[in-house]
Amino acid sequence: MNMERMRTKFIIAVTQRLAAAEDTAAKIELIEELSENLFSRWKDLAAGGAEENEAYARALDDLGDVDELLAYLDSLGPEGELPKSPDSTVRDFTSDILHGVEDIVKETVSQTKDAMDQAAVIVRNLADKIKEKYPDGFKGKIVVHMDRDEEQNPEEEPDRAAPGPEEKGWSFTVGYNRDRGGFFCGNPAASRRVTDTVFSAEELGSADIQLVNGDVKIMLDDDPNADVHISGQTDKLDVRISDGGVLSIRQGNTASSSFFFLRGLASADVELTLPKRCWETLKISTVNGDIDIADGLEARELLLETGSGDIGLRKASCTDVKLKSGSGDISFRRASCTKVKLQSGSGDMDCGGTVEELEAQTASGDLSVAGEFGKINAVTSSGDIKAEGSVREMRGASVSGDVSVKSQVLPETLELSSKSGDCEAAFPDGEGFTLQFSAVTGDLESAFPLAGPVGARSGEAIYLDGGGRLFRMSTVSGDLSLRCVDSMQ
Amino acid sequence: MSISADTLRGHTDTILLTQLLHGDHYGYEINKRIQTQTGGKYGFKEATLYTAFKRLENAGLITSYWGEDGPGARRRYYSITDEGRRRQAENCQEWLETKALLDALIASEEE
Repeated sequence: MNMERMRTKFIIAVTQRLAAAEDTAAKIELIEELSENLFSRWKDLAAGGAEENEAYARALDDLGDVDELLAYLDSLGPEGELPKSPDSTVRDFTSDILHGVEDIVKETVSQTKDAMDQAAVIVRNLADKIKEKYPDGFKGKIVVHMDRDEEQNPEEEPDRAAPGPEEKGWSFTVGYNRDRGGFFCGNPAASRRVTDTVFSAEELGSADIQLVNGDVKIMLDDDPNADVHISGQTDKLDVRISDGGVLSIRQGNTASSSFFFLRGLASADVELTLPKRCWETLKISTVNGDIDIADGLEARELLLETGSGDIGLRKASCTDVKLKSGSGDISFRRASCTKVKLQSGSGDMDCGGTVEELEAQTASGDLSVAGEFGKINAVTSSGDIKAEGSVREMRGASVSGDVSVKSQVLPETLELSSKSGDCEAAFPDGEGFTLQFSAVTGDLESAFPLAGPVGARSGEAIYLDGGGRLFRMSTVSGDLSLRCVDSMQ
Repeated sequence: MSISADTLRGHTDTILLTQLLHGDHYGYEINKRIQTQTGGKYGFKEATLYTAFKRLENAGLITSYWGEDGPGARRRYYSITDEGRRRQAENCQEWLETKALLDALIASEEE
């Protein structure tokens, strides 16, 4: 039997069971530690005479309750830090709450049928009671206060104006109105509904599109003063413009029509044409659908997220970009950005262009980047990481995949690690560096004549004068290699 | 058996701290020692063990480090801190007192 194959089998099994957790450094360390323990258990069982598959099943059973681990990972911050104290969180947008509420409802509704039925009963009862009491319509106001302010009873002061900026808390409206097609939840005081499909973009600075079922396509009109065009199934969309100049597009303007979108019974694609100018924030999310952006987008902040669709983007110049896909692929070519963050569950990701800071996380997808990068930080569980072009700083970590970087300039820092994969770095000759390496069962191969314990399993080796550059490469069962490439100069 | 399992679960931290009193160990090794000491009657699931270690580490009772441990393995070793030793001694004392109380109470009921 092949020991490495079995070790990898445990890594994959543990990775799969933790798929629900965000991919962080803490998660990868957890996978490494626990899969190694299970593998040790398997070896003991097999040595004790258990049949290979039976030993595998028994060892895996020793993992226990995965929910405990997920809860632990969940308690950590996004970068795997310990949780921050609760009072350090500051939020200031009403829409954050609304979207938060929306997300919770979507999650609850989609997760279990029981919860869905219960929610339906509660909503129906509430609807009947409200309809009974207010046959011509109803509008209530919910004021959320922070810092334990006095609680406000909405029924006592129905005409109370929304809190001004000097007051803490938010106000938004929920209600039932036949003219609006049933239940609604929103902040109509701060936004107005748009029914035209062509309107002026003059007052707009940002766009926020959130769909459940449907593709989103953004097209750009070369004229910076052009109007906004919305096409696709516009009759199923709720289009609004807020006082802050945000164009928001949602599927289903009421809870009752959202019901069909949430269950996959309705779908609506959105095609939006925006004038080509620098947008403040462009935020698009769809649960089931692709996101495609035309060439040449300019935005300060670009946030694209899809559950199962692909994301495609070319020639965008942005300060801050976050692209996230659950099972789809992400492709971002000819980027010109300050910060790019890519995240996928099982999809592959590729990124090309000029990026000062690239952060990429994927569970089982591959990451391939090519271009000019200031800093790359890439983490994957079972995928490969491949970087080419000019890379000044790179950190790449994989559990079972290969990690490689081929840079036309000598990087300032380099940190490559894998557990069962190979790590390879290629860069031009000429300047010195210090290499800290560790390969438990693999070999270190270097095109640069190194001084130090090269034949050993681990240690510190120096090329030329050491150069003040520290490179770190480590693998457990893979090989390490350093190669030489021609300099760009 | 379920009563004793519940009782034991309440002492997970003490059990793990005790295992580390005389040297650093990695997770699976500790679990194996516990199983040997209890004649195979008790052991932790990996998930429970891992979250317990993280809890103890967060509380400053243990520290951990990666050890290169051939062939083919990198393992996380756990090490007890002075604070951890103090806590272990306190917990042991507490248990002895509880045990004495229980012995007295249960013995008197049986009479």
